[in-house]
Amino acid sequence: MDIFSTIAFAFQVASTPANLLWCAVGVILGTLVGVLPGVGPTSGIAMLLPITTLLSPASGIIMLAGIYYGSQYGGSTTSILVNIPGEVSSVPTCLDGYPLARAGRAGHALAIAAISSFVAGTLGLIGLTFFAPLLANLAFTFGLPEYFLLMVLALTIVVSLAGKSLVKGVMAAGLGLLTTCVGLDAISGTARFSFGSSALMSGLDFIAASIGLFAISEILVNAEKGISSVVAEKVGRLYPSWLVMFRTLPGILRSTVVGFFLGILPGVSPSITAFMAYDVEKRVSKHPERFGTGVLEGVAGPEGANNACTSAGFIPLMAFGIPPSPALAVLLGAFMMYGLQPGPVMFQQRPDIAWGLIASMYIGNVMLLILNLPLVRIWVKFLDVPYRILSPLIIIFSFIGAFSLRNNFFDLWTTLFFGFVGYLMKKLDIPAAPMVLCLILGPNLESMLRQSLTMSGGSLSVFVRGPLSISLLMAIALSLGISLIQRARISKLGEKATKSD
Amino acid sequence: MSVRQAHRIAASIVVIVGAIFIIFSIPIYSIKIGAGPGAGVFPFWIGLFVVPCGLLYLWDSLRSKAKERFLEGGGRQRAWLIQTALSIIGYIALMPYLGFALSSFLLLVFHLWVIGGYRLPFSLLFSAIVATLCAYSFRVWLYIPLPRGFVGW
Repeated sequence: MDIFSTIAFAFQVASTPANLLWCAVGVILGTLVGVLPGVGPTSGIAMLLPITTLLSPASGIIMLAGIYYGSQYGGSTTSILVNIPGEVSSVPTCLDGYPLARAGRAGHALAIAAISSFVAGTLGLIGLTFFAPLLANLAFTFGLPEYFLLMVLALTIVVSLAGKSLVKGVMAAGLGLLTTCVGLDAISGTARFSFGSSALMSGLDFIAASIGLFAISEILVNAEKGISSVVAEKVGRLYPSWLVMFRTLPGILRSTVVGFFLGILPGVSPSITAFMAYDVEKRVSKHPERFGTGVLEGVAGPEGANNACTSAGFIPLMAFGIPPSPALAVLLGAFMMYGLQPGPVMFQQRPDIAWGLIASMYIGNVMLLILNLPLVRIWVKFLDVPYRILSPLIIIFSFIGAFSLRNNFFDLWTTLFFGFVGYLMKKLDIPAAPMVLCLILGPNLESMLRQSLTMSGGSLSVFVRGPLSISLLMAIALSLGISLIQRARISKLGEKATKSD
Repeated sequence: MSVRQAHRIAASIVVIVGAIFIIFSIPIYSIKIGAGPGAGVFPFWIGLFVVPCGLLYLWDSLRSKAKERFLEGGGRQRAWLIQTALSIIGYIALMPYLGFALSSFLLLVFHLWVIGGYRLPFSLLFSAIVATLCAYSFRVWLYIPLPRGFVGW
């Protein structure tokens, strides 16, 4: 069959009433999973896995996949409205989404998040459809040293996220990396910095910490300010104008490229790609100093990247049966439950499931756009609730999220601790974003460094072993250099503006 | 307390935390499998990086001439802050014993009646409905085993 006959067949499979119904169920549940902090697609898919035994293989897989990519749409909602990242990949969305909500532009932020997610997700699917076999091999060129260097490249974003004081930003990043060292060492099994506590031996969960750093700290800051409403300014136009949407399109396309190519690599999560896309948007912007104060590109970038990343994540899964993330690992379990093995053989033996799944994702993305755009009106109304009623609800949902991670009270105390830490950081103008980035990167960074050096017998030459690793080293140097020059430029502009005042 | 003093305290804490990680990394520095770095290598060097950052921050804070107060606003706002912080601490401390539903109910009543100034009957009714709905939805529909406590629900 040629590719176009294949696509026609795929849509025929995906468009049956049963598959459309279960696709809709999946994306709605996925949106809900994304909205709820702490309940991620991994647990969402795992919880519903037993139910899929009642469904046909195609319907079951389509529904579970819908939960996965639907969660990326939902994660931005609470990030924008109340500064709680619904998914870890939505943490960068908080940086500009919440300030937009405070400025009465929550509708703009939510709409751009939905549109960006749709455009990037759909373009990612086109890449998956036409280029999967070519791109799948890209994943195999990356070894452990290359992954380490990629993580270091992501780490250079700290300079961009550091805000006014580079020292404070870098210090916060270092503290984030140290936090990830608490607990059992994954390689040697040694207890580190647990001081005899069995709770600390299990480590500090980064999602619990993120919820504290963003949501709980915001509650405390708002309590101190005595605010009566989340929205500090009058809500203007609900949806952005066509001109505004057109202006964010280049950012959406850039974030699609970033998210898609990084999403192919196993181990590169949507959260890392979202941060990198945010950094790219900040670098190319004519006004990078405005990032963090409420710019739509700061929402479009991360949201586009995380959706493109989820589409691209299906490439190693479908091409080789290698799940690039925990959520897709659970989805792989669903495939195996049905006696299916993802890979080239499945495309030949069960093209209805393989291609039907891909086609259903196109349909699912359309459903998500139709679902999320009208919801903007309802979500914005939510901000009218007096803050004295909203804040305890936010506290309750935050701690439900933290508890649901490991069903463990220690995570509640972790969230509270980081809530106080986040409050103090806000008061002292120490940026939290570098700390959160390093909480995400830290475990992989250390693990890949140590495994690479174990592989090379302790020799650092493993990090310059080929053109790919040398290119990554050059990219790291370039990224650092550009970030430092940009900081110097912004600082000069700030001084000029102060003098002219 | 002024912002300047707060900066100094924070910087000192960062230096101490960095130093703790350095000191406690040393005994596990060489514990390893194969030829690669040991368990203490990464935290040791990161700690060694964090300490100078903390010292630079301390240096900046010592030179700072900022005179603003650390806590904004008047007595009423400070009371709200303390009440909010204590309510969250109490919520988590009581949850293992009272369970999710009851502790959430108490948190909501406290925030609505004591902090928010809403009338008691409204606060009680609203809190009961919301706490029950949350407990039911998360436990029954989403299969999240929220704590039950002595109450059993």
